[in-house]
Amino acid sequence: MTWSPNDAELDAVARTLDAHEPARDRAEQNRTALLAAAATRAQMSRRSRVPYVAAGLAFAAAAAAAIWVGTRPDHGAPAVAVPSAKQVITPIGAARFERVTDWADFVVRLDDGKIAVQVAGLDAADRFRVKTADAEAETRGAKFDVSADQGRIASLDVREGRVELRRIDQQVIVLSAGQSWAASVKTVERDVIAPATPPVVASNDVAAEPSAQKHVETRPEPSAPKHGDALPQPSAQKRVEPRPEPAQHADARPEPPRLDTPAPAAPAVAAPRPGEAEFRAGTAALRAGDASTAARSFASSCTLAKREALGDDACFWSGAAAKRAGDTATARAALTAFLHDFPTSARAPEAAALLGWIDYDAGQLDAAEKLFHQAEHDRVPQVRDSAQRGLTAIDRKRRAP
Amino acid sequence: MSEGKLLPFRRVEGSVDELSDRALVSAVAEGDQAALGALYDRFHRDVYRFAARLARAADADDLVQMTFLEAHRSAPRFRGEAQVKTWLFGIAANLVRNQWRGEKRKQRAHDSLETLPKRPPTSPGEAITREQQRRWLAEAIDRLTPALREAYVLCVVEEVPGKDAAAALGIREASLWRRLSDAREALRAAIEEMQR
Repeated sequence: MTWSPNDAELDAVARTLDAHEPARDRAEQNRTALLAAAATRAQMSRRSRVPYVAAGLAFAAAAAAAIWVGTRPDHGAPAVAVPSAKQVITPIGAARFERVTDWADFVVRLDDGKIAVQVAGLDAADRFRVKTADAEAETRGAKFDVSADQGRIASLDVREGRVELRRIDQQVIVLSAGQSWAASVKTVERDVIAPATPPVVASNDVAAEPSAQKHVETRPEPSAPKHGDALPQPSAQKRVEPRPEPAQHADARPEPPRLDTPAPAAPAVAAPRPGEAEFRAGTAALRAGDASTAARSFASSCTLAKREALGDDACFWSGAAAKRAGDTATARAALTAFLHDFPTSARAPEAAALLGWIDYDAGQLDAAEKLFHQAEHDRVPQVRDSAQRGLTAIDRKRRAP
Repeated sequence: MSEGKLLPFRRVEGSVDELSDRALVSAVAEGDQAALGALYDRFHRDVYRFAARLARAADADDLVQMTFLEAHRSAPRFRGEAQVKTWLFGIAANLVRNQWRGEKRKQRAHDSLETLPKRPPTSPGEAITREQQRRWLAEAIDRLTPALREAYVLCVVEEVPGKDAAAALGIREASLWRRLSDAREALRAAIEEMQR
């Protein structure tokens, strides 16, 4: 018996060919590299125009100066201002941000992740602000890193210059070079009821990198260790005391930044929370590509911090890291325990989808189907997509001869 | 919070995730990094699958990155005449054509010969399963010339309309149909050979 397909049959079979799926880690690396390359290209493009613009302006200015000097011999030639980028914004790892308005009132909205910002000294009429849902950081010239989690400001690290941070219903804080600020305990309480950070997913694996869903002041930021990210911040984060100024609501038109304020008070450091050190170790190991060690560290953190704010993140990641390490049995046990212990966690659908793929790979289609159904209506598109791909794969597998 | 003037390509409300495909490309053309990230998030799987069919799966990641970098560069020239996905496929196909043939193609063919069975694992009289048909067809597609492969994958596997596919590949529509016909003939011949 031979197979001699006609055109229609040939094409029909072609449409059922298995598709390669990108590996999640590699896709994330690609994304980071792409954004970095695009940013570099944009900067080079701007720089490459500068000599021509400068030359043109210099020529025009020289001509104007010659006329001007000729008519006003008591004055020197005017200075030539070469336009250049006032701001450079670079994502650190995966970050979601967008420019809302352009100069003279440049506003960047930061939703998630960390960005490095460099702002040249501004003219009196210019403003530069980074906004999150709950705060805004304004500078008149500084280099700083700012991060957000779920649309809310998570940290601010000033390397040069000064930055004024205004949070809703909070006192204004001014940070100088070398000072950092991290989300406070108040923020933790708020974040507990906020939805989880949408994961960055690809392929069937829906687990995003660990993210700081809940921060405790002076805790290390267990922020997403995406490839290309800096290492986690040390736990001795400087805590900047707010200036003794009246609270200012971020919705109100902000006062111009007062960058001449004295430096804030000395930092205060609190003791680490249970499981925090293990979580940090897990994050570092995962970032280093050692998923096995990461899984063990997250498992320890999960045990120690189960009743803490960090608990569900740690327990989720003990399973996700184990899966990444190829330790299916541990991953299955950890994710099953996570779903039992934290059924209402925002991570639960993601864990269900991960577990679903483990069951699918083991040929346990009924169990996998149930799990995918738990995740198919998740608010995070990537989790939904993964679950729907799982259900499609199950359907295809069942119908295959 | 007070907002200043809004840029023309931005919405007043919402994130880049809510922009249409074409609006995303417009935002990328304006140098918006977030839009580029969103474009990648939205289409990288499609581009990966397409690239993996045209080149080695091992090369697909690099092709994806190059495709989006090229999209970033050429976004100002995107006129919106084709779907954004088709436009990206066209970029990927060009990259495969220009940079990934030659030695890599030969190596790929060599790899295929090493890894794929030369004869189907069937015995005379045994029913041919759909799985066997898929395996034969996958290998036959792999043996197509690059020009026929990109036409067949784009039109048949990815189901891009002929006019858009021709535009994406930079060829006339009549040429595309001819390539499709040639591709099907070549596939049938390869499948027959595999069954001998």
